[in-house]
Amino acid sequence: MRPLTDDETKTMFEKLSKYIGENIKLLVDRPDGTYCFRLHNDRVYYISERILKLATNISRDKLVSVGTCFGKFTKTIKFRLHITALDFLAPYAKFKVWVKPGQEQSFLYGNHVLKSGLGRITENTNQYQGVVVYSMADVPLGFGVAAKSTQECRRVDPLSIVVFHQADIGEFIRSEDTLT
Amino acid sequence: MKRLYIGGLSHTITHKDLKDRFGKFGDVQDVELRTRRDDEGVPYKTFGYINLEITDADFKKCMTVLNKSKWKGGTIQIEQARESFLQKLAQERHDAAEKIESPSVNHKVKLVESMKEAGVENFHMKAAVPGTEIPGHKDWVYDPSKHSHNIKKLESATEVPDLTPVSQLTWEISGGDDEISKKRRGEFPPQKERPVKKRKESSNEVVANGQSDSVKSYGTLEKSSTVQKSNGETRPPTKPKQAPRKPQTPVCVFDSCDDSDGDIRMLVQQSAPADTPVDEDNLEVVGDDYIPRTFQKTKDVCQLPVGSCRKGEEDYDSADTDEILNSRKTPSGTKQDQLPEVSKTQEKAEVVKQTNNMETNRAKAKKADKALPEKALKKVFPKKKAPSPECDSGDGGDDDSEEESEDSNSSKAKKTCKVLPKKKDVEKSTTPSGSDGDDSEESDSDSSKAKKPGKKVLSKKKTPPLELSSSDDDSESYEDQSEASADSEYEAMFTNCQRLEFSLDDLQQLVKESFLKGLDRDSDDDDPGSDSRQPGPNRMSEMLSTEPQITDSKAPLPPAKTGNGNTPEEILAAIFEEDDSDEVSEKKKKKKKKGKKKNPLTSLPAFQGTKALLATAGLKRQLKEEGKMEKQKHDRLVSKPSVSEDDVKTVAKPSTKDSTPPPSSSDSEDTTESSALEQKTTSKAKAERTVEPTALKQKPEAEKKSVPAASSTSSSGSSSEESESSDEEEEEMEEDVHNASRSVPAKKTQKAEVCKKPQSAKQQDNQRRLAAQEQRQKEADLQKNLIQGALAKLDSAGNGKQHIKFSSDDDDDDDEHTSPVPPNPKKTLFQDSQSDEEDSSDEESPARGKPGHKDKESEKPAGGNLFDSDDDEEDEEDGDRFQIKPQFEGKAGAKLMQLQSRFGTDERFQMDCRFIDSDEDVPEKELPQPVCELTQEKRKNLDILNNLLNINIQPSDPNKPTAKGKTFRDISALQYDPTKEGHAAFETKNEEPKKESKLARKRKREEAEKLPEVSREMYYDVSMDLKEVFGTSKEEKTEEDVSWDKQEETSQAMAVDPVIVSSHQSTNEGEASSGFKFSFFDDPASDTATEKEEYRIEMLKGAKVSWQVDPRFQDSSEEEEEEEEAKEQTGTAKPTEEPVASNKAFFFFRLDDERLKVGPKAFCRSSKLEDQREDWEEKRTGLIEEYRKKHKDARRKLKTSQRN
Repeated sequence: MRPLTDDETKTMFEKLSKYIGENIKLLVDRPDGTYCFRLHNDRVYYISERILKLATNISRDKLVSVGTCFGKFTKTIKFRLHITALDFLAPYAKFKVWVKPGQEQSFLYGNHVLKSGLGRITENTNQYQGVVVYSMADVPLGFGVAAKSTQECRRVDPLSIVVFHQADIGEFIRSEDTLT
Repeated sequence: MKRLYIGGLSHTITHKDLKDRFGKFGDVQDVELRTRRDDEGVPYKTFGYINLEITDADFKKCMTVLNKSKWKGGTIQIEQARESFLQKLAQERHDAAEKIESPSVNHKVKLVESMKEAGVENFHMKAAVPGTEIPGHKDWVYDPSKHSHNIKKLESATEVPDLTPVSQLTWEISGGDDEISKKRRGEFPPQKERPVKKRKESSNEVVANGQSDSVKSYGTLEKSSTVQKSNGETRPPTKPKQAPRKPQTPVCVFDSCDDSDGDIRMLVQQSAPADTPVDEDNLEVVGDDYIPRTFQKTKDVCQLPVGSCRKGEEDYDSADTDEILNSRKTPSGTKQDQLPEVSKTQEKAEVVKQTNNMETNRAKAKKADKALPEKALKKVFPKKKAPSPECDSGDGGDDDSEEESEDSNSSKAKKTCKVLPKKKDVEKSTTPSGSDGDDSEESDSDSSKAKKPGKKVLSKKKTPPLELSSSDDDSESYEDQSEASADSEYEAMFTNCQRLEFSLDDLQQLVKESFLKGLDRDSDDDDPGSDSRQPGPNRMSEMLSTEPQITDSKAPLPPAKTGNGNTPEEILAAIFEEDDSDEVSEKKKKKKKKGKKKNPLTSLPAFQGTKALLATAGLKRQLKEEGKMEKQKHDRLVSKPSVSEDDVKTVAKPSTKDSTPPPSSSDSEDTTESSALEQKTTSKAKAERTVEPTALKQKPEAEKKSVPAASSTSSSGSSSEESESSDEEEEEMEEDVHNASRSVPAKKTQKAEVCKKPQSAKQQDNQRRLAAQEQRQKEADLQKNLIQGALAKLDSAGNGKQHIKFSSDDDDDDDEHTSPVPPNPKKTLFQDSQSDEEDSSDEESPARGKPGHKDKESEKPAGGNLFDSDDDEEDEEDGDRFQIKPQFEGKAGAKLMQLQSRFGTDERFQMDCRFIDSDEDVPEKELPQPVCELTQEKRKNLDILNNLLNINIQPSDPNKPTAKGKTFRDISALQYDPTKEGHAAFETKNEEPKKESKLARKRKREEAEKLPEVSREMYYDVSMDLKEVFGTSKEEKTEEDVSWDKQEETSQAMAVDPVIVSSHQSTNEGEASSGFKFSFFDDPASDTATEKEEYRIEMLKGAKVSWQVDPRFQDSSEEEEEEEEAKEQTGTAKPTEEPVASNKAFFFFRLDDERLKVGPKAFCRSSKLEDQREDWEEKRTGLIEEYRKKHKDARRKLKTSQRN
C-alpha cells in the first residue's frame, strides 16, 4: 500500500473529473477528516486517516482491501472506475442520466442505456461525457458515458444507445469476488 | 383455551352443572354465570361464560352436540366469546412488561426509525455528501463506506445476536456473609436497630445503674467494687456488641456471640445452678464472663482492641486472679469461662464489698442513692440472672417490662458496677498504694469476701453484663466504661472520672486517690520498669491492654505468674498458648455457635484474646525488637486519648454532661426507658459513633478471626489490625466521654490524668530502653543463630555471603526464615502483623502496602543483621536508594524505572544511564509526521487537480478545526419554518412598487414621448445642376421667345411700342445682360438666344426666309406694314401677354398658374347659393327616394328571411 504517484494521481483524477469535475477537491479535502488515496494491488483505495493507521498493522500480502476501492489501474496504466466508488461520486456527479424503471434492470445487468429507457438527462451533456446513472427514484445505479449529447438524444431513434454502460451496482452481485 | 358464551340457560343451572356438562369436551377452567333479573328480581335471562381448555375438534363437537340443544328447559346457545376483560388486561400488561423487559431490541428499531426520519434509510442517505451530519443525531456522520454496502449483513447480523437485556449483563457479587459485603448489597442487618435500642436502654440502664451504682459504688466501690465494676462494665458492652453482631452476621463470631448469648442464657441458667452450688465458683465464672465482657468491651473500645483487648482481657483475668491465666491456658471450654467467671465473681464480690465499703466510707449523701443502687443492683442481679438471658435473647424487649427494667437495672447495675469497679480499680490501684499486686490481692480478698454475698449478684451480673454487652451494650457508658477499663491507667482514671462525675465529692476523692494511686502506680510502674523485664511485660500488658485495670491486673498477674512472664518471650508463649486455646475454643464455639455460653463468652474474649495475643505477640516482639514502637504506640495512645478526650470533651460535654448527669439522669436509670431513651438519644450519638464502628469493626474482626484466625495467623493479624483501629476509635470515644465527665466533674481528674500521662511517659521511656536493650540482645542472638545456621548449612561461608549480598530482600527473607529458627520464630511472623497494626494504629486509614514497607524497613534493622559490613553498605545504598538517580529522571528515566522494576533489584540488570533511550523523541515526531504526509499528499493531489482542471483550488486549512460537514438538507422534506432565520429566504416580500412605478412610468412616458432630438444645424445641399434643371425648361420657352423675340426685335425695329419697346428693352437688356449675369429669365434667354442664334440662324433663316419670303406683307406697303405692324403688334401683343405672364412667374408659382386658379375655386362658389340649394334639394329628394326604396327592399328581404 502506497500513495499514488503523480502520474497515477493525474490519471485517476482525469477519470474522476469526467464524472464529478472539480468536485474532486471535496473528496481530497474533506471537512470531516483527512482522507487519502492509496494504491494497493493496482487498486486505488479511498481511506480515512484513521483507518489508514489501523491498516498499517496488516502486512501487504494479507491485506485484501481497506477503505473504499475507487477503481484499478489496468495494465496499460489506465484507470478503470469501480462501482464501489459510486457512493462517493454520485453525490458530486455533474451530469446525470435517469433511467426509466423498465430499463433499470437492463442497465443493472450490464447493458447500455437506450433512448427508449432514457427518462431524463442533464442538459448540456456532451458526447462521451461521464455520467452517473440514476433510477427515476434518484437511486444511483452506476456509471456510464454519454454516447450522444443531450441535443442528439432528442432526435435519435428510440433504439439507439444513449449511454454506454461502465459500471453498475449489479456488479456487487455479478462480480462479487473481484470487487474489493 | 377458549371462552365460550352459553346462552339460553335455565335459571336453575349452577356452576357445577355447567362444569359437568362441558367438562366432557375439555378442561373447564372457569365458569361464570350471570342472571339478568327484572325490577322485581325475577330472572328472565341466564347466561354464562366458560373458559375451556379445548381443542378445535372438541370445540366443533361441542358445538354440534350442545349448541341449540335443550337442557333443563332451555335451549342452549353456544358461541365463542371474546376474551374476558381481565384476561385481556393481564395479557396487555404481560406484553407491556415483556416490552419493557426487552427494550434493547426496540432500541435498534428506534434508531433506524429515527434515522429514517432524518432521511437515512438503511443507513443510506440519499443525495447526501459523505461526511454530512445526520440531522437529529449527534456525532453521526454519513459515511457510505461504513454502512451502505453492509446493509444486508447488518440486517442479517441483527437478527442473529440475541440481545441480552442489561439486567442479565449485570451480576451480583455473591459476596460472603461478611457484613461489609452485605452492606454493599444494601442489606443492612435489621438487628442494628434493636441493638441500638438495647444499647440505649442498656446504656441508659447502664448509665442509670452506673450512676446509681456509681453513686453507691462511689461510696463503697473504690477498692472492691472496681474490679466488679470493671468486669461488669466490660461485660455488658461485650454482650451488647455481640448481640448486634449476631443479627448482622449470623456466621460471624458475633453471631456465635449471639448464639453465645442464647448459650449464655443457657449457660447462665446452667451455670447459675452450677454456680449456685459453688457460689464462689459461680462468682468466678461470672468473673470470667466479666473478663470476656471486659475484653469485648476493651475490644470495642480499645485502640489496641485486638491485642490490647485480649491482653487486657487476659490481663484482667490474670489480674483478677492467677487462675485466670490458668483458665486462659485452658480456655477451650468451661474452664476459662469458669475461671473468668470466678474472677468476675470475685470481682463482683469485691465490688460489692467495695461498694459496701465505699458506701460506708464515702458519701453519706449518696447513701440513699447507694442503698437504692445497691438494691437495684441486687435486684437487678437476681433478676438478671434469670431474665438476663431472656433479655439477651429477646433483646430485653422479649422479656417482660419488669424484666427489661430489671435488665436495664441489671445493666445499669452492671454499668454502675463496672463504673464502680473501674473506680474501684482506680481506687484500688490508687488506694492499695498503686501496687497492682495489692489491687489483685485486694480484689482477691474482696472477691473472696464478697463472694458469698455478692456471688449471686455477681453471677447474675456476670450473665447480664455479658448479655448487656452482647445486647448492644455498645452504649456509651458501657463502651466508655469498657474503654476506660480497656484503656490503661488513663482509662481507669477516666472511668474513675466518670464515676467521679457521678458523685462530685466521690469524684474528687477518687481523683485525689487516683492521683495518689497513679503516683503509686507510676512509682510501681517505674519500679517494674526499672526491673528490666518486669516493667517490659507490665508495660506491654499495659500498652496492649491500654486498659488500666487490665494492665493493673496484668502487672500483678504476670509477675505473679512467673518472673519469666516479665520476659516477653514467656509472656508471648503464655499468651500464645492462651490465644491458641482461646482461638480453638472460639472457633469451636463459633462453629457450634450454640456451643456453650461460657465458651462463646470466653471465645469472644478469646478471639479478642487471639487478636490481642497477636497484637501482644507483635507488641512483645516490638518490645523486644522495637521497644520504641510500643512506646510510640503508648505515646500515641496517650496523646490520642488526650486529644480525643479534649475533642470529645468539647463534643461530648453537652452529652457527657447530660450523661454524667445522665448517670444521674440515667438514674432515671431507674430503668425508665423514657429516660433511657433520652439518654440513648444523647448517648446514641456517642454510643453509635463508638459502638457502631467498634461493633462493626469488631464483627468483621471477629468473623475474620473466627474463620481466618483458625486458618492462618496472618488473617488474625489483619483482623487484629482492624480490631486495633476500631479499638483505638473506641478508646478515643471512651476517653472523650471520660474527658467530658472529667470536665464536668472536676479538674482533679484531669490533673490525675496529666500526672498519669507523664508517669506513663516515663514508664514508656523505661520500657523503650528496656526494649531497645532486649532488641539488641535479640539481634545479637539472631545474628549468632543466623551465622550458626549458615555455617552449619553452608559448606563455604562465601556462598552464604554471596547469598546475603544478593539483595536486601534476601536479607529480609533470611530474617524471616532465620528468625523463626531462633527462639522467637513467631516474632517475625507477627512482626508483620504488628507493624501492620502499628501502621493501622498510626494511620487510621492504613494502606497496607505502606505498612508492609514499613515493616520491612523496621524488620531490616530488627532482622538479625548478620553482616554488619553489609548492613553498612546497605545503609549507604539505602541512603542512595532514596535519592533519585540521574538516569531515572525525566520521561526516559521513568521508562528506565519501569524496566528496572521489571528486573527488580538484580544487580546484573541494573539500568545505568547508558540505557536511556536517546531515540525517545522519535515516536513523538512520528505522530505529527503522518499527518504532515497526508496534508502534503493532499496538497499534491490538489495541485494535480488544479493542473488538470485549470481551477484554482486551495486546500482548506488543515489546522482549522474540521468544520462540521455540510448539514444535509433534504429539500424534498423541507418545510417552511417561520421561526428559523434561514427560512426567511423563502418568504416572498410584498413590496408596493406603485409610487415608483408611477414616477417611472411618467418618466418612461416622457422619455418615450420625447422625439429624437434634431440638430438645429441647417443643412443646405446645393445641387450644382440647378442651372441645368431650370435651364432646360426656359430654353424651350426661350426658343419660342427667341422666335418671338426675334420677330419682335425685327418688328421692334420697325414698330416702336413703348410697352413693347420697354419689353424689348428689357429683353434687350436681358440679352445684353445675359452675357454677363445669371438670371432666371434673361440669362437663359440670352444664352439660348445666343445659342439659338446659331440654331436660330439656321432656323431663323429658314423661317425668316419663309416669313420674310412672303413678299406680300413686306411688299404690300409700308403702311400696310405699319398696319400689319399694328396688327402684328396686337397679334404680337396677344402672344406677348403670355410671355409676360410667364415672365412674371416666380420660383414656385407662375402668374396664372393653374394651381392658383384651382385653389380659389375651393373657397369660392362656383355657382350661386340659390342654384346650389336648388340642386341640393333636387338631389336630396332623389336620394331620399332612393333610400326609401332600399329600406323597403331590405325590409322585405328581412321579412322573407325571417319567414324562411
